[in-house]
Amino acid sequence: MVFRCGACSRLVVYCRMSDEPGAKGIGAVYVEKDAEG
Amino acid sequence: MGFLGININKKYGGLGLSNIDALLVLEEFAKVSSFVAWPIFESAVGPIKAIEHFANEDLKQKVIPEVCKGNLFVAVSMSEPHAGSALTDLTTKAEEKDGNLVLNGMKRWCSGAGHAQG
Repeated sequence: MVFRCGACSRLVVYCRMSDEPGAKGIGAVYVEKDAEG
Repeated sequence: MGFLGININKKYGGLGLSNIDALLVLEEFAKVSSFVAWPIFESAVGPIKAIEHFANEDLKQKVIPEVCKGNLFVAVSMSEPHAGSALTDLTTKAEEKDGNLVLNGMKRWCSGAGHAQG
């Protein structure tokens, strides 16, 4: 994961958690800057 | 001074007041300075509310009290090149692999990222 967001070191990232259509498939993931990737 | 986490549960260091209370305070700060109001916004309606509502207790205890104390800002990343504020259009995926969540996609910007810190 590339953190190109200034001084940020923690993010809540909204993403698709499943293929369920619409809002039901959307979730949020808490990410810290030193996360792998 | 207690302006962070106005509508956050008291057990996490917030004041436990209503959403309306938080927004009224936020409005007054925003009239004077949007820079000063921003952390209040983030702790009252931003990603911290998502953590308070949906995260497991360990994450709540790790993050929310530090936000209420003013020690931590958490940014939020939603919009994508082809998905604005309609989150149902998101294409960034989270998939579980080997016990970890792997996120794959592209975000356009991160609200609050310039102020979020470690």
